[in-house]
Amino acid sequence: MSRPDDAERLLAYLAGELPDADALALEARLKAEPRLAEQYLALARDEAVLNEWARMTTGAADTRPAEPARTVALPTRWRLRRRWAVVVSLAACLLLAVGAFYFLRPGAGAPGPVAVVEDAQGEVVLVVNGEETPVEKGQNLFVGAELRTVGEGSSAVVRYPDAGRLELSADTTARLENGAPQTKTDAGSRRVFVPEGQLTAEVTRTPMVLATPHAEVRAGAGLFLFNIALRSTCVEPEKGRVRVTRKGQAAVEVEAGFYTIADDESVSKPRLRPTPVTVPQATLTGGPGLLTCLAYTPDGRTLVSGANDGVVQFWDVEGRALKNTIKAHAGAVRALALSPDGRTLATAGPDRFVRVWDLSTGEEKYELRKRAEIECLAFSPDGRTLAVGSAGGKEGVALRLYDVATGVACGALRVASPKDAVSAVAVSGDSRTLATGGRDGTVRLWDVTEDPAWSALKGPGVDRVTLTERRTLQGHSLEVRALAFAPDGRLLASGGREGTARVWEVTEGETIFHLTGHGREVRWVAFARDGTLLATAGNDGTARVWQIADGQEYAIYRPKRAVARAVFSPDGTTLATCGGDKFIKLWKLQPPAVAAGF
Amino acid sequence: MNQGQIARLLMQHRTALYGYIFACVRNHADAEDVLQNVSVAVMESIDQLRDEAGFLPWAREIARRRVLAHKRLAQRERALDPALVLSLAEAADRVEKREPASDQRTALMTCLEGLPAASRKLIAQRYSGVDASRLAERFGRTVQAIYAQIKRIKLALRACVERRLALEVRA
Repeated sequence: MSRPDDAERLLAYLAGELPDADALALEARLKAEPRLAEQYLALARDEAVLNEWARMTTGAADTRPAEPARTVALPTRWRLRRRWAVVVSLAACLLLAVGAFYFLRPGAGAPGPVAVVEDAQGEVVLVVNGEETPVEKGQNLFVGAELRTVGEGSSAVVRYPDAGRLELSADTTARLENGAPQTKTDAGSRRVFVPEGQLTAEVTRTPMVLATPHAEVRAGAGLFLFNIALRSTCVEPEKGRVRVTRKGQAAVEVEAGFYTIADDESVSKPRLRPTPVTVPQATLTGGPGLLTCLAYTPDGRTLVSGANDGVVQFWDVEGRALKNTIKAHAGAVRALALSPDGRTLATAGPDRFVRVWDLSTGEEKYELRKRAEIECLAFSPDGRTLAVGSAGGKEGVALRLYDVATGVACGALRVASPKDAVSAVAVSGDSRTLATGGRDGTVRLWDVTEDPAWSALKGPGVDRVTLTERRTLQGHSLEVRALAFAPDGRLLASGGREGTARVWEVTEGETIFHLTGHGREVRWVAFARDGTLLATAGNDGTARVWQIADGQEYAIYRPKRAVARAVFSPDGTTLATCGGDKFIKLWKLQPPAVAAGF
Repeated sequence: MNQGQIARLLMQHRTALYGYIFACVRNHADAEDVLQNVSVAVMESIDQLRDEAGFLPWAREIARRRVLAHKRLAQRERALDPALVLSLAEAADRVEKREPASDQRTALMTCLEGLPAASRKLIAQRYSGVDASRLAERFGRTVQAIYAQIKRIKLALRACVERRLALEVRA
């Protein structure tokens, strides 16, 4: 017998809000009344769709509704006090507002907004008095505002109505300041202090001063690219002139070219080293999202890219054309990995899902839900296992191994603290050694053993793969961001947030090369198929190729934005890069001509 | 039947299976775990399935067993009543015949688009894990008012879905 409030009771039961006695009574009715059970099932199915819809709409990291919050009723006396408190607060706000209007009105010397956020992609925050708040498009910026782009796929555009615009790449910090007037008629330039990162400045009328830890660059009208690394500032004027002043030195006027101002006290004058700007062989242009990851299929015919709008793109390399796309995640594609046979693709996003795709049909095979942010993915070369690295989270599992055929968890690596994370992972060519990189800068090598009697039917919690720690490699001072084994498994390359890459000899665990060219975070490392070259991609806006024979730089490519990925084509003739924009750039693999310094 | 076909069937019937599992366990994290176990079991024992048409009842039967097994393993508060889990499976079968999950999903998505922007925002945030007290702050309401509003929106959505499906049947 249905009752008027049945629907509400069913929703309360579904949400776990009914007291036990009421829940039991309702369960008895659900068993006895088919119509009520059907009504309940329909509501439960709605929950499934709402959950899915919210995930698609917001890109939520955790799609579960939170537990109901408890509320406490205040005694009457407190409620009265609260009313008074509200009245007093309103009055205080009014006084403050009047005061603010008086002091901040135009013409009263008020510090009005100097710029506006024209665009913000990914995580962009405003830091005021140490407090971080998310930045939105259209937000006004005042002198003193510190803007920070955080993580892969983040970027921001700041427009000065009177001076031009700044485009901040990922992991860049910029503080808006006022420059001192240069002459009596000069109203003062727009000054921006950039302690780290990469940005493009398009200067129109009022000159702009870019101050960095190493130099001060005064730019007139034109277009300029800046890279600020730990020990140097690079400036590349595409159009127009800049005046560069190294800290404590005289100013130097420079025009188009590529210049480095190094923080090296032994150099008595600005070390300005022109280097030819290399040009890619081809550029692939696709969707609106900024590209975050990239991989070649084993046959080299297709490039697979992931973007910060959650789209995965498939490119015909020979035809230079976009073949297909799939919407993989609600947020940015944070990591992607192709199985060695090229038939299976795994992608991960900030929605904490790993999705596994069958590339022969283009359909999703299954998805794996994680409870912590996913940092990295790797297939074992035998194609049987997928490794997913993440923060340890509440479960304390920073690396989970999955049986690729079934999607069942078949191994795990536990960590002591929920904050510990596996930020990079790689598996050796014989699938017997696994390497993990951590936030503490260590690289760990693990022996992989398999249980041949394992079956997916045994379900999660029964391990097929056991990891036994073999050795810890120490050398990076900050988080390890990328790992790659050489094809023969004897060498391991690692890239660190501190801006260096290392090549390790696996058996002895010793660094054989310490590659220091980037200066800013090294985000990716990859060996060529024959093992003779190593590619590194960095936030300094370069992709570099190193000779494994002697650790020397073989070539430098400058895609101009922070480079997220640099991967060799399987035939070894091309290097493909992406990062910071919508383009994949293909570079012919040969050392560019190097101009001598002056 | 190959793995791609099984995966397609699992995706096609995901809403129906998840809805049934969620009706039993009433917790999204548990429902996700059980669904994953069901997916694996389906992959492993697909040879037992005679034809595609029988997929959903067969998978739901696997889900019923996994729900009972899951609750026993989890040793939660009070054990699930097997008779209730069975009644819900039978109800799920009837609901699926009357209101296929794919139609219900499409109708609900359309109804969501028709919600006032503020209601849509509230539902999106609630299902993205924002707790009710935070929502109360954001929307300038009391926690109780937020709960009541969410309940009203859900009931309105259910009514909207039923209206749309009834119209489709008539058309």
